[in-house]
Amino acid sequence: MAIVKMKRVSLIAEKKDKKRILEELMWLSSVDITPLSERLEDEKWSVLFRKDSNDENGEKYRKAKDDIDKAISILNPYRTEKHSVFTKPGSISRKDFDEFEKNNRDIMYTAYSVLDIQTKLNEIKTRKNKNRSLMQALLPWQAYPFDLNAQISSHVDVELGTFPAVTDFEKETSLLYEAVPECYAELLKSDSEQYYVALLYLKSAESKLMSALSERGWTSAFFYDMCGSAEDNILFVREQLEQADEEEKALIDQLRVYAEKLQELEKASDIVANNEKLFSIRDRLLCTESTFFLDGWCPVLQLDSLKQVLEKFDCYFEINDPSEEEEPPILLQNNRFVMPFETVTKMYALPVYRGIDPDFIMAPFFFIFFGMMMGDAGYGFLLTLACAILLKFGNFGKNMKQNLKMFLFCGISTIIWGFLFGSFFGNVVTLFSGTFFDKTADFRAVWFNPMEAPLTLLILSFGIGFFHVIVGMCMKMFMLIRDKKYAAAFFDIGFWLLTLIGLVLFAVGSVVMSEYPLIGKIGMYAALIGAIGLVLTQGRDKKTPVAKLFGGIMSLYDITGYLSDVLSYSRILALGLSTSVIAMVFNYLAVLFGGGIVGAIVFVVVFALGTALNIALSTLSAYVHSSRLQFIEFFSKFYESGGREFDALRVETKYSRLK
Amino acid sequence: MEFLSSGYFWAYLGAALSALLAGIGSAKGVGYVGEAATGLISEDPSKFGKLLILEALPGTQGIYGLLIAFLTILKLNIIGGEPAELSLLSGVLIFAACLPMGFVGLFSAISQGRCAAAAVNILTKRPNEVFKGVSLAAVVETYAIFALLISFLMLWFIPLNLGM
Repeated sequence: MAIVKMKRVSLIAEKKDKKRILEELMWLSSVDITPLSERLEDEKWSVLFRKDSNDENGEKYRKAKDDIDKAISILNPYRTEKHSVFTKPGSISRKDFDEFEKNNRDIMYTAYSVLDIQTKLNEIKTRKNKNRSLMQALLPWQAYPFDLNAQISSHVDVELGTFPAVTDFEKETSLLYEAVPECYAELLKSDSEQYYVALLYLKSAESKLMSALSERGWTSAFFYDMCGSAEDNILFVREQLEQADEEEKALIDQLRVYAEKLQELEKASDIVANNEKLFSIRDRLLCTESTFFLDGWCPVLQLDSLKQVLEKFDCYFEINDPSEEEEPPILLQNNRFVMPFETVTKMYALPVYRGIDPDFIMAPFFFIFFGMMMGDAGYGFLLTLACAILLKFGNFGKNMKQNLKMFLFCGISTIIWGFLFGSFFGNVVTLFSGTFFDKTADFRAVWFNPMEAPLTLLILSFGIGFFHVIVGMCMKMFMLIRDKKYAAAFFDIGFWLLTLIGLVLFAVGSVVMSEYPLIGKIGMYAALIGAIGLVLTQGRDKKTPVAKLFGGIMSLYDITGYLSDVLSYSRILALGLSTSVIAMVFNYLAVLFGGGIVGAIVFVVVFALGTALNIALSTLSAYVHSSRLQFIEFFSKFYESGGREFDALRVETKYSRLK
Repeated sequence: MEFLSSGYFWAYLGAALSALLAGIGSAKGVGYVGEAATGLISEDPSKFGKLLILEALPGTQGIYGLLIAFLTILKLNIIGGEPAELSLLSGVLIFAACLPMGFVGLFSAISQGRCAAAAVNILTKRPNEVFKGVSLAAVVETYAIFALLISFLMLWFIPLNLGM
């Protein structure tokens, strides 16, 4: 239920054991290795040590991992079974690591073959593109029967080209014939943009023709390096394209075969990635000619197994308590109910090592707030069910699993509040029975229905909010007393607690429970004593008595802060209402077509869509705003954050599951 | 100008404004985030899910506006029933009750859209921290929620026959 205690481990060992020690630590997964290069700035250290570095072997592993990952992404589209969250991942164990070390030639050969095929495929793709654009250029000239680059005779030449299709072709040519009578234009093909024309002309008139043509917007078509007619060339290019298609198909078939080895490749990628890490972690070590020095944090509970591991080697190690100025990394440990809610705290920031892990107190509030904001038994049921199915059959990382568990708990809370508020998919029970069976059935509220009594829920929200804030202040008080700062604990927090609780008692006593005047009176005096205490103590840092008094009086102004904190909890009512009203809107739309077959079909479609949309929206708002109430209203009262997450050297896998 | 003395005119105007202004705000806000998101999707399509969450944030104001408009219609019993008797004064009060949601919805959705669009940068550079961006944008929504609350409370408790 708290922040795990850490010890500092310092180790000196022989260089020849370095690889094996690091390997053992990785499998132990409980040492967070500290980077030591900063210590070299101190001469005491730099005389003895230099920075260890990750040698060319690390580079080799990184390259191998890149290649394998590339091969995996190339093969992914050819997977036989489609990948989803429900796909069982392959498993991997320490034995696989050892075997891979001994024999990895086959798998690396597979990866390189895949990369090779991809290079070939790319080359074919470029070739195909080139041929396709050539084909595009040739197609319009299909009707031209002669050799594309041949001369007709010594006096007559032919030129292929296009006119823009802005005017009539007849008009175009007649204008051309007027200027240059020694030519003849044959229209081969026309499309919306151009006329494709073969132009016969006498060579003697060439220069005259050229100037006339440029006025008409003529563009010559060139076919360099081509012999034979357009038809011949088209056939040739088509053949080339077909051949490329065949080659491509053959290569893709090969990829399909290789895709069956995907699981092996994924395993290899995980193994190589971890081996690479064993090298890159060396950046954090210091070394001499024949020894190396490692320094890290280990949770107290794991110390024994660490000792066992290290005693196997010829090495010297020390285990110390963290010193005052050191900030050990943070590892949280909570029971099964609270643990999933750690993700909320982590989203804000981790606590400092000597602070408090707020999860145990935050979790119940989060649970309640979420349920109230969503407040619908039907939605809660679907949310719980969805999370349960995903947790049972899905394959997720650790963080995602925690999140799902949190939403599962929140779903349960939503069911509870849904019953209390009498909401089951909004008001669908009443509407459905009224439309289809002409009866009025009700899903009755166990407590009260917020749509009928919104003020009750508003007051309830303020009440829970007030309690939340008070608990936050008590936490602060507890922390101050623990640190022996008694003045701050009683003056800064204690008097405020007295004032606030007194004010609330006074209000409750005089408005609601006026038959017990004593309660109001106690409240009033408590509030007065608290306020006087605040005026007397809050200016205690100031120098002159006048400044002290003034500071004290000014501090009463902070009441607005507490007021706005509590008012902020009205969002619980607003979000709860928004869930029910959106549900109601969709339910009304769903029964708009009345009873009967058509009505039933419309009902099912609209109801399903509306429910899906509303669950998505309400879950998002309930999650975000429950978090916000913790972060801004609650954590601001006491929480000291800023710790670094405990990040042990451990085996991390992307594709496979560790056995 | 006879319609000005009808309570129904004012109540409808209020409902329309609530849905209209808050809807415009959300459309703009969602648009900002959408634009910012396309850049990132072209680089890394796998972030689509998280981007969708960011994009959905400024969408809620439009829904709140719709809510108030719908509640107005419901209160007047227009859907599938005899429309209720409504006095001029009550109609004008319903109009007033719809205003907070309309106006606050409009401006808070736009601001929230800007904030969420900026949070797309967080998703680009530090994908794991994106929910901090979501929280920052969600704080903007507070005022839309308050407006929803006050519009709701004002609307829900107005008798329909005031001053009759």
